[in-house]
Amino acid sequence: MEFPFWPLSARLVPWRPDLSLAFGAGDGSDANRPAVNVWADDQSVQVEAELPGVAEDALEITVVENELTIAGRREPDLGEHVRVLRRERPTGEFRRVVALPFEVAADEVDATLEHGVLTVRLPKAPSARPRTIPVNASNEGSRS
Amino acid sequence: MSPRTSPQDVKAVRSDRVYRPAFDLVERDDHYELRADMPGARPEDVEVRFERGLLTVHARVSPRKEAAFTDEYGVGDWQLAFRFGETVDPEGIEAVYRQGVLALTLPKSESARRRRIDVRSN
Repeated sequence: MEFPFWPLSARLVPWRPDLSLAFGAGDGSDANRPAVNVWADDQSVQVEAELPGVAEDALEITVVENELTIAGRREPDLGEHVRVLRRERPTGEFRRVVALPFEVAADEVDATLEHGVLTVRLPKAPSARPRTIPVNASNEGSRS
Repeated sequence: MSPRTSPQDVKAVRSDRVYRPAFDLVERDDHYELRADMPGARPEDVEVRFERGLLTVHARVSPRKEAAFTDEYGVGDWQLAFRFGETVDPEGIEAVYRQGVLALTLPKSESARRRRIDVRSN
């Protein structure tokens, strides 16, 4: 049978390797483990993941100590009784655990989902913020 | 509709990196449906064109902050090209961009539908 489609995309632009099998899984091997980009400064850490087609209420974000978990489910959106010509987009459950570089204030975590991009902002816990410790010079004579 | 980019403004509108989105394509009796994962674009920055049987999609994605210590995926424009040839009626194509997913409905052309009927009657 003659196939009427000629995908040109591979010739126009390179595959994004981390999307070839997965929700952007960094290792390219597991469709259920979304890739993340993480950056941090003195005050907070931000974690970003691309989750196209995931509804907000299908997403669960939890923080336990210095571990962030992003979990959820993407429903198939093309229905059944169709002739599939190409299927690359993953569906089903996904989960990703991210180790954070410091303890965060779990009750101040803020998450937004916009145009399929999840951004989680996690402020540093007060106990983990830098403190300047005053040096008490009068201790000098108390050393035993 | 004229092409959005001319040689003079290519630099202004295109990001450094361009990626091909993952996509699904299915066929129904009278139309095709295409879904492409193109997160991070604003709806107004998604451009769909169909010219002489060639579907092209381009979505401009603004650079986001560079990652400091975990950088598992790149951020850049999305670009997809797919040749449908004569099988699609360009006038009836519909496009919706929602939750980072571009959904296209491409009705089959009269000739493509006739061909299908011929096959069924054999």
